[in-house]
Amino acid sequence: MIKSEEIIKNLEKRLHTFSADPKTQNVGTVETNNDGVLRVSGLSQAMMGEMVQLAGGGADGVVLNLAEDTVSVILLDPGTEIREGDGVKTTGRLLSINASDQLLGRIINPLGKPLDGKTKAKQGKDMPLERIAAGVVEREPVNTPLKTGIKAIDAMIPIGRGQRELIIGDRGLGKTAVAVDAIINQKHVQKVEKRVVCVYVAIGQKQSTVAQIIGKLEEENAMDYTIVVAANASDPASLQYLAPYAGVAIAEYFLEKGEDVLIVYDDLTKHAWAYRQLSLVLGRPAGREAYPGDIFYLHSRLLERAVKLNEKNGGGSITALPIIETQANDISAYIPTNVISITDGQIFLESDLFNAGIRPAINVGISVSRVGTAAQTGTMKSVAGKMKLELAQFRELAAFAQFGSELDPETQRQLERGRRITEIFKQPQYKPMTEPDEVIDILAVTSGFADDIPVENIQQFIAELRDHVHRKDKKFTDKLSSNEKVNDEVRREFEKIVTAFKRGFKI
Amino acid sequence: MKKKALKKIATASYNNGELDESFVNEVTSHLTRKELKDYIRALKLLEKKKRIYIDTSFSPSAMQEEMLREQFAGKDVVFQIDPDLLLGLRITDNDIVYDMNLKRTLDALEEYIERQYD
Repeated sequence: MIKSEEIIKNLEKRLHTFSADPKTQNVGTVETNNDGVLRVSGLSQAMMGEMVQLAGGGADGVVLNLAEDTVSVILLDPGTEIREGDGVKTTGRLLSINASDQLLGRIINPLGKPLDGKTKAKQGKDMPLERIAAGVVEREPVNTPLKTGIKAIDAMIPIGRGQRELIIGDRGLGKTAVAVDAIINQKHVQKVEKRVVCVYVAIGQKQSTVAQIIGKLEEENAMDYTIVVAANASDPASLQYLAPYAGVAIAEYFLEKGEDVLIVYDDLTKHAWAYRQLSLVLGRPAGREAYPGDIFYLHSRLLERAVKLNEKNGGGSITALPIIETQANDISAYIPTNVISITDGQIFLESDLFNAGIRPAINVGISVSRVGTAAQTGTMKSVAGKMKLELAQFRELAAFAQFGSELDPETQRQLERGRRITEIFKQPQYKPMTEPDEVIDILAVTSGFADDIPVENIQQFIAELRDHVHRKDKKFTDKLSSNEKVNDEVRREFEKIVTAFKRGFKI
Repeated sequence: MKKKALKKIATASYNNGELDESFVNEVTSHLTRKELKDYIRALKLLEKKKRIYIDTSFSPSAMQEEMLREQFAGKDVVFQIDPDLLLGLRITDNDIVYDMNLKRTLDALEEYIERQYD
């Protein structure tokens, strides 16, 4: 039972920052309302990006256009009755979201309103949605891996903490699945390394899809360190436009505390559509594909806020995984090329690979990580290098395999090796792997121990091998977790383990 | 006719600070319906800029009224009584409102508490 004194004390504490100074207010009058964009006369003192409030404690809006006698305000709450002549007043505040540790495990909209039926998180810190990214002096090169748990990515297209890696492909190829696996994998990562807080920003998606993703994250106990910011398809374009900025503002709260954050923007194509809709209604000139002239800036200023700070500035990082949906694998379209030029690499998902049963359908040949091996541990670096070369040789020779003509033994060997490497890159959804397990799989194939196993049995082989190593030789797994290079001694030890395993292995 | 031109015409419709009725009638006879709407809007805006409304919770004395008029020389000051203000006054100068009254303080307090406890 809370005593009366405690209530009064609490109230006094909360009111000590209250200012009773006379307030100068800037007011205006609604002239028109077009698709959630108000034209308001007056508001001569309004700032660009300032929050305004409709009179009577009504909906909030944001000033997005400043004209000579009027300003244009986008509404953030669609369900309000607004009439011509209604009053509008400035608030003196720029758009911000309240962030705190209590947001972990929560689902909120871009304004901070809870969507999970629970009470609003207690007062934390107001983080501005629009903010200038950290400068060059405050940053340091990306040097710590962000492990996704997906073999193809961790081995061939490694991502580092503080990097921006684009996930691009047609609809239904598993772009979201890659991002969700990366989030789920942080559950394993935080047992051995510095934890990674995850922020999943859903932009313009179906509520059923978002609910499915949240359900999976809860099932895998990933919601403990994840925040979901959702602006669904039924939300106004203004909220969909603000969603990624709200997500990165929350990420910056944790960044300032020195933490590492992974933020997924799913997806920026719908974000561009929402911004196009707003811009057209605001009367801004339309450019290529009817997008406004500052469509590049929309994404560049967002993605520049992904950063790896140096120790002097806290040592935290924000890693961004933006997702872009292409049409018919066309990566030369306007928005995809814009975002490709901004990010530090891209993961291409192709429909041909997906249809051929290679899932995740990552084309490792054309996927790139510009950070490269700087974002890999010594262990992974020492095993993945050889594999990259073998896979490149396989791709060159793959065309010849179709002819069915007699090939020399070396070519045949390379083809068989390549097929096995492609096979081990297949991975079930929602089953991210720890680095030791990934290294075991890669070592088994690149060292030639799987050359005599039929391709269709490779998955069974490596699954049972991993299980064998975990049961019989935990010390070996610990060696692979040490981030040390895999030297000859480790390879000899692995050879002994595999030889012993193969004696009992049955297809 | 563009809005800027109509604004200039609206400004020119004033003679010694007052609207020239004959000028206005002459102008309106040449305008289309849309142009007329914009012209009226421009005139209303100019009128708003000319006038200052001072709402008080009490009936001010002649001296107080004179003091306030001196503060806003060159503008048309209109006094109104609004008991809802409880104490103090509110000055509305076009789109800028100076809220110096008890009602505003109490409203601000309420908003502040709501934001804290929301």
